Amino acid sequence: MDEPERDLLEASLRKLLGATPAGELRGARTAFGWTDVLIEDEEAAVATLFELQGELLAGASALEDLALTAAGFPSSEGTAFVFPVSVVPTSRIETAGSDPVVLLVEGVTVTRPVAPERIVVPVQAPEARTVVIGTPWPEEARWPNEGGGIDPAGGWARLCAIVPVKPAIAVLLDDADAEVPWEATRAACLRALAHELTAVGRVMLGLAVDHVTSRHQFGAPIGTFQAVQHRLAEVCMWQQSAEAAVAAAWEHPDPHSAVLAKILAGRFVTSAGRHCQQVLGGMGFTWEHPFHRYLRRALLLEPFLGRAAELRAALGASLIADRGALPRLAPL
Amino acid sequence: MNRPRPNAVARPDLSVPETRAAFAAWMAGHVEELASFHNGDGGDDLETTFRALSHLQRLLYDAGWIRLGWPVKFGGLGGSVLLRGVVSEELAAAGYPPPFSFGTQEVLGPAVATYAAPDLAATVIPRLLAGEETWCQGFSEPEAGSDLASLRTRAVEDGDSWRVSGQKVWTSWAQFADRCVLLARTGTVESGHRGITALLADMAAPGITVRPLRSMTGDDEFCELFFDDVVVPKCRTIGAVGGGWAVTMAILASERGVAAWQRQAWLYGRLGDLVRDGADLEAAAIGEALELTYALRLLSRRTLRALADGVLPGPDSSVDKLLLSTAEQYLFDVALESCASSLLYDDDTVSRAWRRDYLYSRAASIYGGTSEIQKTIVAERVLGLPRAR
Repeated sequence: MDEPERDLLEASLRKLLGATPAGELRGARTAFGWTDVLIEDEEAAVATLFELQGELLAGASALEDLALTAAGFPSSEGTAFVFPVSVVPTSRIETAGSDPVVLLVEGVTVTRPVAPERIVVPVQAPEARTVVIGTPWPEEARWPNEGGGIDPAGGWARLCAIVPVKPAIAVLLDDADAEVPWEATRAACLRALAHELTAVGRVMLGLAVDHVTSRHQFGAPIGTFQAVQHRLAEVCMWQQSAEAAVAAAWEHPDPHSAVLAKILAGRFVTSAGRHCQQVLGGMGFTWEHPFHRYLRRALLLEPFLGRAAELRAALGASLIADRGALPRLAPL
Repeated sequence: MNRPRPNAVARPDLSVPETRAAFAAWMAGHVEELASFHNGDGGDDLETTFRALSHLQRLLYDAGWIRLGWPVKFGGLGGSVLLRGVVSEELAAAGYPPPFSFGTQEVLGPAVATYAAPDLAATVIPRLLAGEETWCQGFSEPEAGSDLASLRTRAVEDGDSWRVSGQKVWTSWAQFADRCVLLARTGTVESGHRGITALLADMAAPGITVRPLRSMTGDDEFCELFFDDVVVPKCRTIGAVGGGWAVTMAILASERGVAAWQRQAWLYGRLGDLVRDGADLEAAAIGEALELTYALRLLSRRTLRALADGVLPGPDSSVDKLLLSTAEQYLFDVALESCASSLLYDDDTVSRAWRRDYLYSRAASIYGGTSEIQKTIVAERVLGLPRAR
């Protein structure tokens, strides 16, 4: 997709996100044909949509759309994806003897007014593999119907449930070929989250820059004070690092670059959350100022698929296991 | 005198991946010739190190690798600037130290090529690249470090020459240098950055005294320079009279940008060493060291790519430098944690290297402009915050 086409896509999606109530976003994206764009040019589709998600604090269903498509499931209101908030999914299948077989589901999911017919969930399998499985959601079981927690507007809720599954599902866990969808799905979600988090951080930094440029104390704009300048310069360093890492994650489909993009995006929003909050002073602590809505979104999304600290530990462990044979990343 | 130039094996018409492969193959074919440089800086004392790294410079120049990405008029073979980045990276990846003028040619080369008179640039740059002469950088003074524009070394007009008097400090490798890119005040004391002129002085000129200054690593790499009525011909002026600040900005931007690319390649290698050598490795810390080195790689790659498109680095290169000091100090903090007993107590080659690199990393937030100066530049010129002064 060339530059004018991307600009057009951005303008159309911006209009769409601005005009659509959260509950109707999935349908609106389908009508828009976003999935077709995704197939045509994944980078343009994901970068454009998820940067807008972050900037406009749009609702949750886009990531679910992406995860389902990447894992090979049709995206619909009736199918829900359960996202782990850890590097290794904590959902697992337990077999007590030969039967019954149950799925212990643990993660975050998109809220729905009506429970889905089916859930798709990455689960632990033997030998540190992860398998994505789809299984019916029991009719009588409850489903979170509205967002809560730190960012109710996000449309996410925690899901902890025990669901009976067919024994055939358990067989899948022992099939060594069955792990394929997860690595690709995970990388796709990490890239999208990195875009969304980076956009959230960018708004926080923009709010802080505007504030310190226009507010005066001691007879000068507060942005002239070195203590203020240096905090925001540090945030800017992490912004540029995150943006470069998000872009680099599209160059090669290696798993490390998607992980590093999510880690650096997490570092950026964490740094922006701390320093921008501080220089916004009392203003940034009010309900009226938009800062807290971005802070909440950052706090909500950062742990998805593993916090930066957990991802670093997993990355480090893999380097140690390879005894210093470092991957060659981001060639010139 | 210029040495005869052997036929280069390096080719400027190859792509980045082809150059990577060709250079790796060349190194593999010259393992014996390169053996004395492997995993070290080639010597225990400064003089031996200087000789060894200068030899490596000539070796790589003669094969043509150092000529890649430099215009033919400067003794280069032409081709994209990116090829320079490939050679420095592959050399580090194969475990070899940077040749002596690798840093200097990236830091000072582009500015001299841009601002010096064409015949001067065409005379001296080929010699620098070929390892026939080495340059040092006379910028900082005792009370003009972060506040470089207040420098007091004076250059007074005298017919066709400048007469230079004053003092410089933190001049690396000055005791071995043939020339010095020197900043001197040609305007009034109050002229600030508008009254500075850049000169290329001969270090053999009468009136220059070099006094090594031992750094806390124990090396005499830094020097103090004293200029006592030193004559510099006016044809050695780099850029306009009073236009030295533009030259300075170009040099500092190169140092903060492209030199950071060389540094990240080296840091990446040291991270690999750490994972192999470290006794008590903490996974999260190793992951974080990779994260920071990778971020530095991406930002310095951006700068290198811009340079390859003909754009001299701007204020964004201060972000590169800020990240360089962050990544380098973090890596060696982790090294201290992971190899504490050998780094602190032992005296074998490996332990001494970790100790030297740990101590040297403390300067990363000081040289090339302190982190505080970089943050102010980023705040005012990248973020556009109101200026304090």
